[in-house]
This record gives sequence, structure tokens and C-alpha cells, in this order.
Amino acid sequence: MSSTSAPGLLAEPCSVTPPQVSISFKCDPSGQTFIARQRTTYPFTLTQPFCLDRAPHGMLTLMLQSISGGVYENERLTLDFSVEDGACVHLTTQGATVVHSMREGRAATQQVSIRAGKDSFVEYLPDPLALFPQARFRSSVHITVEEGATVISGDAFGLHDPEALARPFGSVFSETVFQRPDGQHRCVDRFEISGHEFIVSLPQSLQRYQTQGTFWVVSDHDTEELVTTLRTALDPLPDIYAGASILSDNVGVWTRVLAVDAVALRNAFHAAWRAVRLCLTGVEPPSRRKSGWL
Amino acid sequence: MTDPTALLTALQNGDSFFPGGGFAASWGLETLFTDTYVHDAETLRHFVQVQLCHRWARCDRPALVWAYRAAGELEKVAAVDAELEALSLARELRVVSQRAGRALLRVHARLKTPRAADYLERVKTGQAWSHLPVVQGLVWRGVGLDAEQASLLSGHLQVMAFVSAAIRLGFVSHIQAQLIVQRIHPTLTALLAAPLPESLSSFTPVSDIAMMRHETQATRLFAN
Repeated sequence: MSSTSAPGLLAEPCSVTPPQVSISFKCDPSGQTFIARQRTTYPFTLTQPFCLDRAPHGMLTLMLQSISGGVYENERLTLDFSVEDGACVHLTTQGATVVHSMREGRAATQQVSIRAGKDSFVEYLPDPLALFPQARFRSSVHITVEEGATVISGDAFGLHDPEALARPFGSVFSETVFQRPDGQHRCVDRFEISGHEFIVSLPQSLQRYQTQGTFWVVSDHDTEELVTTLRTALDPLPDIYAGASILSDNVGVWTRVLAVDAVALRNAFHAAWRAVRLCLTGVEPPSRRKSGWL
Repeated sequence: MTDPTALLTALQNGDSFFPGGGFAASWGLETLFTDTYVHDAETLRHFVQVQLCHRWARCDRPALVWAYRAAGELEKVAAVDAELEALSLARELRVVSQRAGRALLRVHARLKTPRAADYLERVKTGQAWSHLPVVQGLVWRGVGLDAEQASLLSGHLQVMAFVSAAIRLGFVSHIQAQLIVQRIHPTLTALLAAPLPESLSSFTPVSDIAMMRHETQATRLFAN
């Protein structure tokens, strides 16, 4: 199926600033992934990478940290990751990304580009966004998936009103795009919602569900097995409303989760991630740290 | 008086007897009823409102209009179709939309609606997907409706599909359904007056989840 441009169809993301983060990962002859090239500037810093996983072999874990304490009004953030052929990477964050109040109404934007090279294994699983009252955030994540690559990705946001004054966030725009290098087999999740709309659009009996997330697995693996794995992992969990399905052209599977709070959402993502890893590699993944997302 | 020919065309294409295939779907309502999140007239009205505002207005209507405008260039119609396919992440949403669009296309090909047979050929040879809003834009231009009339007809049919499903599920009466339709008219007309978005988008997590859960529901009256 051709994906030629037409009125109203978004073109490639336009980055007006050099990336604050630009990292290339490669695989050495032993199969160990290493950082081949990196550039990291304010407001980001990287932890020392580490290796925890028995499978996939040689997987490198890297945590992104914000040294500014979150995302602020009118910030323009760009992150670019290139995972070369055969490399295996787990990319995550230190904790939830705080998106602060923006009293002048100027949204912050973050663009993430990921290239998953041939036969690579890429996990992009940042912690959820904590959207403060009047926060305005525009996020795009574009992932190019080459032949034989596996990508596990997730994104989530939640209302956060520390003074409990029933003040929702301003707005969130989110676009996640998976596609092949030639632009074929696209899967797109694109939405824009205000905090007020988010709350009132839920049925009354679901309005206590304050967080929403999506979890994707793009892989050549049997999608019926993957979707059953996700459903089995999510079905028993309390305080969530979730479903899983196979993506177009059988490129993978995805799940959407509504959860009462960040704890319930974390439990859902944790269960999904562990179950999918076991399905794909035969080995459950170790946790990255004592507390937090995964 | 509104152009009587256009009105008659709209009435014909919007009639429940027109074999367009769109009434086999519940768009997640069947599961939401089973899960007790939509269960009476008020919760149905809320569901219809949300679907119109956060999916139809932001995704289906613009797709229809862009397909309508591109009708003379089937490559461009297919591009809109491909974008809708990319955004239709839940399998039953995707499959039902394709099936309904294909059924509508077949009927219009037999009615000799301009470009219907050509586009059906593209669908059969894998060059296009046949999502319902795209086909509606293509064929309703072919029968002489303008873009606004086509959009209005699409919105009306979507609302009728929702209330029809609810009646068949047994949790609203025919009168309650007609009251909901009446109450939704101001929303529909306001959405039609709003400018088109720049890109297709959709935020209906509850119905997305419901359609995905529907895939494994033990008893199913509907296709999604």
C-alpha cells in the first residue's frame, strides 16, 4: 500500500533545533552493544550504561535523566537514537517526567526519532508524563523499523494535581509512528486532548481513571501468540481497563490501558513488558531498579 | 427549499434499507454494555457525544472530505485510505470499516456511480483499503452531493449506527433512541461548522479498549 503525501497527512517531523540527545548504538563482534557515538546536552544527562539481561544477548540499558527537573514552558526538546544492525538497547528514564504548569500557555515540545536497524532489539520505555495543572505538551515519537528488528515501546500520561484543587492539565498532543524505511506498513497513534476533555470523555463510572498509556510490540514474532500473551498478562490486574490487538499488516501488537493511578498503570506495563520479553526471548527481564517504572 | 434532488439522494443513501453494510457494527458498544460502562439512555448519549467529538470530527469527517476533494485522483484517495488504515489500530475497528466500505463500494459500482468500479478494482488488487469514510467521500461525490451534505450524511449515519446497536442490545427503547438523536443534532451541526483539522487524529480510549476486548468476548451479536 502506498503512503504518498496528500493534504492533511503529516510529513516527517520538522526539528528546528539540533538534538539535545543524539546517540548511536552498535554491536561489537562478541554481540555486546556499546555506545558508538553520543552527544548529550542540557537539560539531559545520561547515566552510566549497564548490562543486566541474559537475553537478548548483549543488551545495553541506558537511563536518561533530566537535570532541569522536568519540562518547562516553551521548551523544544529533540532526541535522536540510532540502533545499528544487531544491537540491543533498553532506553528508559530515571522517573516520571514532570511537565510543569505553563501559565502563559506556550506548549513545550519533544520529538524523539528512533531507527531500529536490521535484526536489532530496541526497547523505548520512558516513565509516564506527570501533567501538572495548565501543562501543555506536544510529543512525537517516530520509529523506523528495519527488517528483522524488534521494537517494544510505551508511552503514558497521567493527571497530576499536587494541591488537589481539581485542576487538570492544559493539553497534550501525542503522535507515535511506526514505519518501515520505505514508509510502508505505518501504524500511527495521534491524539490531542485537554485535561478537562480527558476527564469528561470517560464514562462516569470510569472517571476515576486518571492515567492512560499505550504499549507496542513491533516484531516478526507470531502476533497471535503475542496478543494472547498481552491479554493473559493484563486480564487479572485490578484498577485498569485494557485491551490488546494485532496491528495492521501483522507488523505487531499493541495495547491501550486506562488506569486508576500511576501505580496501577506501572503494574500493567510491568506485567506486559515481562510477559512479552519472556515470549520473545524465553527469559524474564530483571528489574532496572528497586522502585519506579520497570 | 433545499435542492430536492440532493435531499432525495441523501435520503436514499442514508436509508437503513440502502445496503451499505454499516449497521453490523457496534463500535465497542456491545462490550461496554457487557462491562456495564454504557447501560442506559444517558450513558449512551454520552458515548455518542464522545465518539462524534473525538473520533468522527477529528478522523472520519476529515478523511471523508479529503477523499471527496481528491475523488478525481484515485492515488490521492488511496493515500487518505492508507492513513486511516494506519490510525485504525484495533483490529475489529479496521476490519469492520474496510468491510463496510467495500460493501458500499460494490453497491455503487453496480449503480454505476462514477469512479466506484475503478476504486473497487484498486481495493481488489491491494492498492487501496476501502475504509468507510473514504468510500463515502468518493461515492457521495459521485452521486452529486456536495462535501457538506456528504459530511452531514456521514455524521447522521454514524449516530444512527450507535443508537441502532443500543436498541438491538436492548438497553434503550426506540423512543429513547430518537430523543438521543434529536439531542445530538446541535453537536453534529456545530462540528460540521468547525474547520477541518490539519491531520487525522482520534482519542477514544474507552471504545478502542472495548473493541479490542470484543475480539475475545464469548457471545457477540456485532462485528465489533
